[in-house]
Amino acid sequence: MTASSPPYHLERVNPLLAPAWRGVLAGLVVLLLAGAAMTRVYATSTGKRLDGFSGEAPRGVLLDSLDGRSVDLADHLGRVVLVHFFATWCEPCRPELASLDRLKRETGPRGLDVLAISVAEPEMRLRRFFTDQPVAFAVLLDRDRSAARAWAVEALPSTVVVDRRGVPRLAVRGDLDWQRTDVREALARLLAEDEPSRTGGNAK
Amino acid sequence: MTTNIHRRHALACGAGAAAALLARPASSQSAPAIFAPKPGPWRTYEIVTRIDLPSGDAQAWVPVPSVNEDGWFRSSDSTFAVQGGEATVVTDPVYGARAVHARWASGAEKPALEVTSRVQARDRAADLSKPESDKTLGERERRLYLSATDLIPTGGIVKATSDTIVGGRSNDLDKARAIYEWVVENTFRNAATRGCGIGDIAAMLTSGNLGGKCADLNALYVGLARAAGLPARDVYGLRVAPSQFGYKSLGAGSEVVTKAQHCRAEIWLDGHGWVAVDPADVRKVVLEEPPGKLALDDPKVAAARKALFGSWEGNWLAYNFAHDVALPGAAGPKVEFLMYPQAEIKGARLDCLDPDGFKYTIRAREVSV
Repeated sequence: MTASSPPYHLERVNPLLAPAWRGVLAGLVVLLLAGAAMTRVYATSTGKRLDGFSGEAPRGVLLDSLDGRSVDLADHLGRVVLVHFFATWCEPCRPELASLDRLKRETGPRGLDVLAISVAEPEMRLRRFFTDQPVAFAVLLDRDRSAARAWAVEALPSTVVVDRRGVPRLAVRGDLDWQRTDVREALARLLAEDEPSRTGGNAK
Repeated sequence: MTTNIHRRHALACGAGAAAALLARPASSQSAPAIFAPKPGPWRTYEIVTRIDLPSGDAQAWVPVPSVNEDGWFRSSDSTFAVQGGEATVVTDPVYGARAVHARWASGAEKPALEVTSRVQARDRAADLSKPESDKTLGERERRLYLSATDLIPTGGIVKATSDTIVGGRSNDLDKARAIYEWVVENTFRNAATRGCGIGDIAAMLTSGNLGGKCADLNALYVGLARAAGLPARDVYGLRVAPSQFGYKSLGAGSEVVTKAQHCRAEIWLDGHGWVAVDPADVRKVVLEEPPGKLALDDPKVAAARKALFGSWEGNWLAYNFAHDVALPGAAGPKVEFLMYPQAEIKGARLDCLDPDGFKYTIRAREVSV
């Protein structure tokens, strides 16, 4: 997974960011960040952003889920899917899971799914973790890191956003605040794209 | 097996040692810091690991000390008692790491396993000012300890970082020391890291987050050294006694050592053989040694930093050097390293970092022989 020219740079997508607004918004951002840092409810990393996905299109995802199902990314064709790699030992991953949970609850009805892939962690550790912190999306088990390798994951957490046609479009390496305006706008654009017909999709 | 008399004696000794430690100056600023392990008398420790599982259809693997190194560590035989099942000693074919492997059928009542190990350890120190040894490293070992593991790649960002650190140095000792100083200065101990960390060093370097614990920081040392062409290895083990130098952060606080796992590193230097290296413990002193959050130039930190390249204290046992261990008969994947008890119930791997939920306990005591 590599980053290249970012198509969703904040200044390019947000018309509110005219010069007169910048000071006000900058102050607001500082306040929001301070609040997030104090509550630690959601991911606090602000330096990261969704970049355009580049590199080889990964193969699919076919993994067991924590609740005993077999989950195939191909079955999510027609929806925008966040393929998210994490581990519970990874400190920034933990608050980001809460952020993803809120994202899924708010945008799921509009067509967004999250496949959260736990990389090489014992099942019982995950069961205990998600009993304490339940989430509204599937948790998948990459027991031998084969999915992480296939998706060229270099660091945890990492996320690839796959569009309704099954094409990887955006990526972020590191944790991200999924409530951030620019992030939500980038996802909204993907959600607004047409759903492919079941016979004409070009899912990889 | 342990007798009550022995246990009481050990407790009495432990209380005396604790009193002696309390008598030392509490402030790191108020006394000259001395942390200078030197080979001395051998000390013998008995370690008892007990596993209690909630149901059958289960298996467990308990690491037993498998390291025998002239001069600083001897692994004696381990014995075990299994309740409601059967057990045998298994050996990893690559690294020689041993474990007791127990199995319980479904319906087994109160599955339990208790493993008792005895080891002898003493302080070690290398005199790096002059060659001390004419030992050579066998070709198989050299290959093994230069090679990549699942989480310790030796190319890519690891190689690039290593090249930058060693720069134009041509002497192996200089390279080894440069990497040590780099790890000490650029990493930090993260108290929030679960267990000892996982040791995913490419992820650490790629993300720029160089925080972690011993399995992260010392694995980083090992990877950077291997990438520089220096054979190096992690040594996975357990703290079993307080530090005799009064360092609270560098010893076991009580007989219960269930969460006292600690891994160190070694580097091979021609003329010296395997040399002790433990930059992670320098960062542990920085974070945890009272009053805490010490500066790198604090005398206690400086003393540990000077000593932990070339020496370490023998209040610790070494289990093995193993990476990517396939547990015989396991349904789950390989483990990154074998330092914790492992178990599966109905094919689901338990959380080895949660001894209370697992559940297991480890006790260690010094015994006289």
